[in-house]
Amino acid sequence: MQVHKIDIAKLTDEELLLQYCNTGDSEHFGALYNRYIPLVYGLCLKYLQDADKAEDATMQLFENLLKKIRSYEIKVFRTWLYSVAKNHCFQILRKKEREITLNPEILIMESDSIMHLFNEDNNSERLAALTNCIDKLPEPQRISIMKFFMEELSYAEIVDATGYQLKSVKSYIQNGKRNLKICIEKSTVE
Amino acid sequence: MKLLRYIQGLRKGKDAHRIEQEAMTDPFLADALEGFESVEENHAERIERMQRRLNHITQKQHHIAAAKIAAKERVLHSEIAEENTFCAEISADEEKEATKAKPHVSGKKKRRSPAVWMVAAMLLLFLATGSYFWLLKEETPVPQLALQTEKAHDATKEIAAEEKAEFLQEFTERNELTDSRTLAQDAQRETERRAEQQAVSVPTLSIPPPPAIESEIALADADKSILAEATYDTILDFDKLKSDDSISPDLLAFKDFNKPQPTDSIPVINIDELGIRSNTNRHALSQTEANKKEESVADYNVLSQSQIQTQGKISGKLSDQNQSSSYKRSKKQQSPVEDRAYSSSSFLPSGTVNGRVTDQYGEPLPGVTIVVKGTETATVTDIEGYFALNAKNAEKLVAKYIGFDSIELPADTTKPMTIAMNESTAMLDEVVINAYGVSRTDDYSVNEERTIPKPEIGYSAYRKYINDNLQKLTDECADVAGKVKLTFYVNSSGRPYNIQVKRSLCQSADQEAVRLVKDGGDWTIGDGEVEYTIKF
Repeated sequence: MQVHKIDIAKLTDEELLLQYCNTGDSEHFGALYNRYIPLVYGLCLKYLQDADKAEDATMQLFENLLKKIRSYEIKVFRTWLYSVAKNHCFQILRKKEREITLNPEILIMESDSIMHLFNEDNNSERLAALTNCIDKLPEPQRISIMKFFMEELSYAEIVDATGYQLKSVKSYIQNGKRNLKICIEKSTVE
Repeated sequence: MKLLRYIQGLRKGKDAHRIEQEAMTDPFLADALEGFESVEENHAERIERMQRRLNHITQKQHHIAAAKIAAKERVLHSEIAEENTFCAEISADEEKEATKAKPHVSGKKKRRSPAVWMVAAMLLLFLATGSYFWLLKEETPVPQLALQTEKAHDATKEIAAEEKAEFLQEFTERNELTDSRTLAQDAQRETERRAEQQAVSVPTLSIPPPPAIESEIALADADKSILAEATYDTILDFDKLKSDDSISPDLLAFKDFNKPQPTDSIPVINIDELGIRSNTNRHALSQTEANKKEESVADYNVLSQSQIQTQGKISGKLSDQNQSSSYKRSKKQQSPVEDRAYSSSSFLPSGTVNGRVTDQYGEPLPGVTIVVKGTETATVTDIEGYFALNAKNAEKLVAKYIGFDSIELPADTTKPMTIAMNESTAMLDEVVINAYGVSRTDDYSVNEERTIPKPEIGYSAYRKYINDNLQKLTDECADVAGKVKLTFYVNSSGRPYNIQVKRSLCQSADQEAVRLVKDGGDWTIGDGEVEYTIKF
């Protein structure tokens, strides 16, 4: 009887959700949602641009879900919650008739093929292409990419090391990744 | 949590890098990070606050659910108990059984199956509800009852006393153990054993608590509700020791089973036990963090308070004792809300109903209108959901609040009432305002109201005039046959003006049609547009 409590922290999201669906014990869903509070709150901050509103939205979403979640079929809770939380924010915005401004740069989520390249070096041909392509990048992009992926520095550390703006570092990495991908695809096709 | 530290501004090192790299493939995380960066605030603090709030909500609901189950079972059992009017007989039987079972129990103390546990709890509940109904039926003052029970069970008393001594001895031995885990586990086993013994321990009333224990009582406050709390605390803290968070439903159910015992039976037993328990409790607590203790106490305040409100039909003496000591306690705890809750129940004149209104989750509802049905007496709950108004017992109170189902229930002046309102499920549709229904005032739409001029001589005579005066066309239009439609207005002297060809047939035919109307007779005066068709 007491065993399952010790395990709450160890359970995966989906297991916890299943527990909640089976028992209806709000504690299970509470524990699950607690894991995602930072993410949901951050997401709400992004769209609502106000800490109080974001907090309200986060708590409101929890209460909505607590009542309804058992009627949903959820395969991967994380992605499901992401879309639900986003819709929740949009709904709030729509009620206020505010224009939704989206940063298109963030919306384009690239596949992590580039990161695979940095992590796995079993394909020498592709690796050669990669090093070749990195050399072709404009200097700020090359420096940022090297520091992030090779030296595993954080954005803040790259800022310290290079003196670039934080925003610039991010866009250098973003653009550098895109350029690398295009370059590598070209060279491997040839 | 790494993410929290990142949010707080520790953005260097491998952990920070890992989060940033994760964000590249996880849009959820990326959005969240963007959000944290875009708004300046103490986000970590807010997150922690939300997590605390959430835990509070879910645990409260957890309690409510467990309490509901327990309440259902209680009803079931009280029905059975009602059939057996003389519960003393039953309890005597039960005691025999319990004493028989006792050696067996202490023999295999180490592990106990949940079933045995449940049986113990059931027995306890059965006895508690039984004695409660007996109390109600006989309307015997508490001390007298104590005496009666004492006389009736002189023999069992001795056994119980022995048991008690044994227990105390065991306990002191246990005190010497240093390992907190063992202590907690042992003490919990003890609690379990006690649960069974409580069935037996009814006749131990008259045994005065030893002085050492008395000092413990002073520490914990000799108060019935505290007792309940202390008992729960013990259980809870074992719980906390055994696992990191949250209470298992089973344990909680047990607590609920346990509840009627301290509330309904005689305080002496409980104080007696409290001494031991709070002692155990203290030892257990000393091993846990201080803040955990505070939390658990705070949580169970809510429980024990509601327990009094919902359950306690306590005899006058008991509630007096309860109120005075709980007032002391609320002072000690320095919680203004509680202070108010208790003091209001102690000092308001009779004929006054007071209580609190909450929603289904136990959150206070401010601004709820409470009306005594059929009268003009009404009040509104304050910010903490509390209210007080004059009403006689069993008069109907109606609680109304927007967005909640109205609720009607009899007034109870004997104890603070707790009114839980349900959110109404009927929702208003959103109102959509659109432009379909707006009428425009432009020239055309008013056309119908205008008077259309007619030929002064009448349409048939006018047609005759047209036919008589229509000149045969000689040009290329001579052979065409058809109609020319004209439109025109009529001026104040009856003459057509602004003659236009609406449907043309042929140039000379059109000209001839216009000439005919121009030269033709007067029209009646009107402001509408005239349409006239001439055949060729």
